[in-house]
Amino acid sequence: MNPHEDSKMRAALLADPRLAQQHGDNPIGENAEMLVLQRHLLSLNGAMASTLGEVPIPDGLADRIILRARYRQRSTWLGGIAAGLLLAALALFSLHDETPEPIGVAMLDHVVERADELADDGDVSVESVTRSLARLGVGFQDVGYQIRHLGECVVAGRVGRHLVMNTPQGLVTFIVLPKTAAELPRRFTLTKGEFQAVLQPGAQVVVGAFAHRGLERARMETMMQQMFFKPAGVA
Amino acid sequence: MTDWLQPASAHFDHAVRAFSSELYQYAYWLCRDRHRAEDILQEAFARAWKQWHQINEESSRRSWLYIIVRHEFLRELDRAGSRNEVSEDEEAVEIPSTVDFTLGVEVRNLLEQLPTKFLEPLLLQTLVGMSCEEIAAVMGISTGAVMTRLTRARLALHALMNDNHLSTNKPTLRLVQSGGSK
Repeated sequence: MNPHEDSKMRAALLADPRLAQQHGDNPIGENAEMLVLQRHLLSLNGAMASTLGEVPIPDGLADRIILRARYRQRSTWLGGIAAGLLLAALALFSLHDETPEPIGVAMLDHVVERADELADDGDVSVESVTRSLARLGVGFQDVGYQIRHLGECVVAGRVGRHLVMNTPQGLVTFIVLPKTAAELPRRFTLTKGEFQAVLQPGAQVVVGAFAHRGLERARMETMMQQMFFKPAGVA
Repeated sequence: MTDWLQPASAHFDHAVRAFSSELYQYAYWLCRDRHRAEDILQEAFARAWKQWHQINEESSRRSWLYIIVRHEFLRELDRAGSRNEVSEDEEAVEIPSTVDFTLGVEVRNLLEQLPTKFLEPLLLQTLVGMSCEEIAAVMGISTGAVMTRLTRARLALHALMNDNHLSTNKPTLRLVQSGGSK
């Protein structure tokens, strides 16, 4: 290889040392000097990638991004009306509820948005529910309510379970969603429009009960405790 | 529920979970401030969500998100009046006959001293694994300009290595002499 070709190859390696790895025919060939330079540059690449990737990611970053994006979007396309409603909702959170947890707000959003999951699929068997929830590490105790819907749902980027039941007090939706250790450290309640939610953390999941605001929260809590948090074999 | 039946919000949530970490690191190295990086990322995703329906190809979304984050960073610079245009990409780079990447220096120190205009394409290539063509799409410049900037970036690193080697001999990247042209 002549000096001109050497210079061109050196420039190419400085631009992208992966050059020879990306192409079937190695343009470096047997040029020992270039092979050494490439090896050094690839080693430097590895050291740079390792250092650049050391930046710690803030806890809850994805949840905050999702919340901000959703609320911004609504306030844009519905204009001032939606912005007013949002402010009212936030005021409600601050006046009547505890500080909203991102995962809880995302779950409540999901229930409000997915009205189609209130569709009646007929009777879903207790065995199906038990089997489905077991995959999330959650037990299920049948208390005799008609289970009219069971589906997988995606909330805040995680796959959970979406159940709808006919109870003596009316329709109640339950969401069971995997959570991180830091999320939802204790029970939370939320309201949005005509909906209300009671959220109860388990070891690895959060269970939410969602219903019309007319239903007593204490009753919703009891339902959750009976079905999702009661140890097996306890009557 | 099948994937295509899921609402846009589910796709968006998936993308946020999948890409927010690497995009945060990208934003951090652009502005070198954790709080600003999160602000940039939040604003960028808020813009992305408004246009989510325009990008149907799952494979395009990652590069598209990088473009949006980059634009948000530039918008922030514009607001602060601190944006510097980089115009020398098409100019020929003089390649020295000897390029020695063997001096023992701390890589983090080098990267922290490297100007953003050089660090950005290096980051997209080494950390994100993009090709020169993909980097060109993100940065809105030609592939040739990307290659020029990457070459300049490594030469700038080389110069910093020499400078740093004079003041410290910490051997964290110890390589052997690469030699010069014949």
